[in-house]
Amino acid sequence: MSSIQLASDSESPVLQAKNLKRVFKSPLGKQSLVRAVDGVSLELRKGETVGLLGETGCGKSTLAELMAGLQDPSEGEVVFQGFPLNKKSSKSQWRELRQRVQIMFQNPFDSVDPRYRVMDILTEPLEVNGVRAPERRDRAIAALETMKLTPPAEFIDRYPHEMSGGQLQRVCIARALMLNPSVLIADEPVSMLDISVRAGILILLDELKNTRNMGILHISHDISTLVAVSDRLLVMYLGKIVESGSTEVLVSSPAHPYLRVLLNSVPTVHDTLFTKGERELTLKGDIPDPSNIPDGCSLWPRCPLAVEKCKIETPKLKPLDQMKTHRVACHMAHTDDH
Amino acid sequence: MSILSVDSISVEYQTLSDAVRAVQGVSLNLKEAQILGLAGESGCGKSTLAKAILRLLPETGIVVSGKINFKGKDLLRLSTSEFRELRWQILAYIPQNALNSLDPVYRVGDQVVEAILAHERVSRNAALDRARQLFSNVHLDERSLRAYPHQLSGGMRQRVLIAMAMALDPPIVIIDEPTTALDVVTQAQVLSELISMRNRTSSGMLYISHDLGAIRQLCNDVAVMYAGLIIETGNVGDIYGEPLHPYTMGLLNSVPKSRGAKRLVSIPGAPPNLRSEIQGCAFHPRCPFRDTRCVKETPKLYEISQTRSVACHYHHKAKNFRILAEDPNIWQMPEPREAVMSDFKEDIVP
Repeated sequence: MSSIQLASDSESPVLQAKNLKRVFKSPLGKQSLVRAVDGVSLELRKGETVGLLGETGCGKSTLAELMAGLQDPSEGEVVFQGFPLNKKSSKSQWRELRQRVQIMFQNPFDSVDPRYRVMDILTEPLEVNGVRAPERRDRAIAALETMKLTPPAEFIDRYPHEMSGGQLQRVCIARALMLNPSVLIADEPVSMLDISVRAGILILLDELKNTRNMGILHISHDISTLVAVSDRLLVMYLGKIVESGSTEVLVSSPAHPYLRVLLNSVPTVHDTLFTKGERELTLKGDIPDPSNIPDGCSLWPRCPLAVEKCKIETPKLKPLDQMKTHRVACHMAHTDDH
Repeated sequence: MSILSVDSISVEYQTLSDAVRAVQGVSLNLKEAQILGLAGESGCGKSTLAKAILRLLPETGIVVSGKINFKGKDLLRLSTSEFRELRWQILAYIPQNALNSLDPVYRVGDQVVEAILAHERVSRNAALDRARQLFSNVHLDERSLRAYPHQLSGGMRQRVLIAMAMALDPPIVIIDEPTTALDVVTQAQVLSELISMRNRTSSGMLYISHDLGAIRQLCNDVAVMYAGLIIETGNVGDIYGEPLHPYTMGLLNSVPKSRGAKRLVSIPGAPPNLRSEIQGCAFHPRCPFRDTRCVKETPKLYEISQTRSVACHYHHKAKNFRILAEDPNIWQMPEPREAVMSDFKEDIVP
């Protein structure tokens, strides 16, 4: 492989979402539709961690499942290594995606079969993909070592209930890595764990990014964690990305009122992570019913900066800088001197 | 002046074969207009302590020793009916899960009125007036009085509970993780309601949380719990700025300070099994600074100053420890340890 190809390899995204939409029929009324994911485009490159920040019900977990091929989009497509995946794609293409793009969840106890031993949990993906038994065991032991669950002999025959949440979450990461994926989608990987064990999981994910050159999509509602671990950040509100850019830029000059409020309002332990801005800037009320999203900008009823235009016209995600890396979907951000 | 003093209280959960020593001889003082944060991870006994004060322990939970004094009375010696008189009036409680704490078939306004009428001889209209005032204090619309709990959002329900707790202007309010189930923005709103409530009353509040950020924003003082014990107390500035106990240092360093995961500290191992007697310092198996004394001898809660105490033999070395504790590698010790307690958020009641 030539060096030019290598360079373009690291530049081109390994996993992309192109205008992904997922609409659910609301059980409450035939008329109402829930637009869980409403036209999201994103790019994930190898060796980078992208943080997806959003609150409950914003559609971030649905987006995760769409990206992993666990749900079919209503519109748009997932592009893996340049190949779009849709209804026309062959079985082997989907198989490739499901092997190379792995996902892990918030609650490890819900993500494994309680009657499986660690050995079974780790070797199942290998078995499905036709790896022979002796090799399976060796690879499971190696995976436990990578996850710092040592000595592996002590863990390999345990049942999930015989482990702590932090240990089982490591097993879940190990399972996700058994097929050497190029992308790991981590949906709230530490939010159920106690503070003192969170760091261990975050460090592990960071090492995997560097040593295996993996792309990690880290989904969370926890701003501090995402700011600490992400190279880039995406901010999601009611199914849409409202701001994206490098983490440094987003925390130092957030442009969307939603992100500005989030950064101001989160109670932090250390003041050194990011500086807080205008305390008085807050949002009114609560997140609206996702089956009844307001017209125009979906934030306007809560937004302190909203004007008439916001109620009528939906703002597009447009670049703010010349490099086109910092993008924001807000009329006000594009009119004033932000 | 101290309004509530907990004097070396111990709580055990009885199981068929043995007992879990969830709280082991904890003492604390709550003063007028003080907000005392009780910080700690799951299973450290913070919620058990709160429930023991409120007499809300499950049947298996038994207070084996200690006293809880309010104005010279030992609350533990009161009969059930005497204690019921004190609830709301003296001792109010803001629980974690607002939806489970409100009656789904009563309008929330009626529930507030009912609490007032149960304790005070006032007319229904006067009680309703007060409910209206309480609701406006927490920025709830007057119309919310007529709402059923399911018609309100999580943040609004939590505000109803804050309003209810303050209905009789109680001198003591116990608040248990009020923001865990809420969104970031709503969390901030509820916290600011609590802050304005702090500024309005002279009630003493005990705020129980694993959220170190929320405690820092709301409380005056903090008590850090570990394995059923208070291991460090002090005012918020001291605890967050100059922690004395290695556990507190580890906890604070495990929260992101700067960008990059590499600098994060992960405390190895897990809290000890509370079913058996703990030898030496409860934190010693996970402590990078332990020596033989820590293994053998249980440290007492040393009083450092009028406002500060710490349960560490080597508290006088804390300045050095703090510098070392910044380095994540210090915490990585060779031998792996058995996990005996789940590190999950929910407190596990056996």
